[in-house]
Amino acid sequence: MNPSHLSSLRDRPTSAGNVLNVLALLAVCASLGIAFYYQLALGELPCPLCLLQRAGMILTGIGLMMNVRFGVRAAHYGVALAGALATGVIALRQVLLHIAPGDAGYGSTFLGLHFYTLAALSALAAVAGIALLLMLKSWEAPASSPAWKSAGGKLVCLLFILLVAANLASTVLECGGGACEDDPTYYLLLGK
Amino acid sequence: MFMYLPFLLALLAVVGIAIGWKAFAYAMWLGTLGVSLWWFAFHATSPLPLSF
Repeated sequence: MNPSHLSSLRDRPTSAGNVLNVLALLAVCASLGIAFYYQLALGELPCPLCLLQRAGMILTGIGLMMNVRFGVRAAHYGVALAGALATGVIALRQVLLHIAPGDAGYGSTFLGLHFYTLAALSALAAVAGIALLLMLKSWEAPASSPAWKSAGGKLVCLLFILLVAANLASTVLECGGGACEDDPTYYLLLGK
Repeated sequence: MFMYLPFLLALLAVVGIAIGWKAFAYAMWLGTLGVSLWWFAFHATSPLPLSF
């Protein structure tokens, strides 16, 4: 008998996959939020590679948001995985730019590591996490509806959308139209 | 090419996801990835200070 025909297996209101995707999207939001804290509270404007790492995290979050909105699918994990790989490559470039002995690195540190190093490590962690989530997807029965149905799922998606919009506004103010300064110290459109 | 373009396309993607436009969201995501990689290639031109 094909167990997928048993209705009791598909009447689950939620699944571990649903919950973990919402939590993972929340973690992406936290990363973007921390970046904004350092930018707005401590005045550390993002450099071009920093902005691209933020874009990479957003690319990862888009895959997770697809899982929340449309239900858990392998293709959505593929989207998130591609985003994590892009983030990792960009972050690794910035790590290697400052790897020579005596190089003080760029920007603040957190737990002794620069943020591009933390971005590279979290991109690696994201790849590992997605590998586990894909195995979980094969193992457990899917939920009857996507995580979007819950208030928590909707709220986290809304937070993510707001953070993406904030990044757009911030980049326009910092760089205007065209490329950004390599070591930005002021917002181009604000003149300060 | 504008530095804000990845974030603009990403915003269109996430809004597309929210309103249920799946194919549109995929296209905007792909655009975001492409533009982000273009900007990476633009900025990653100087040689790395590595020696072997």
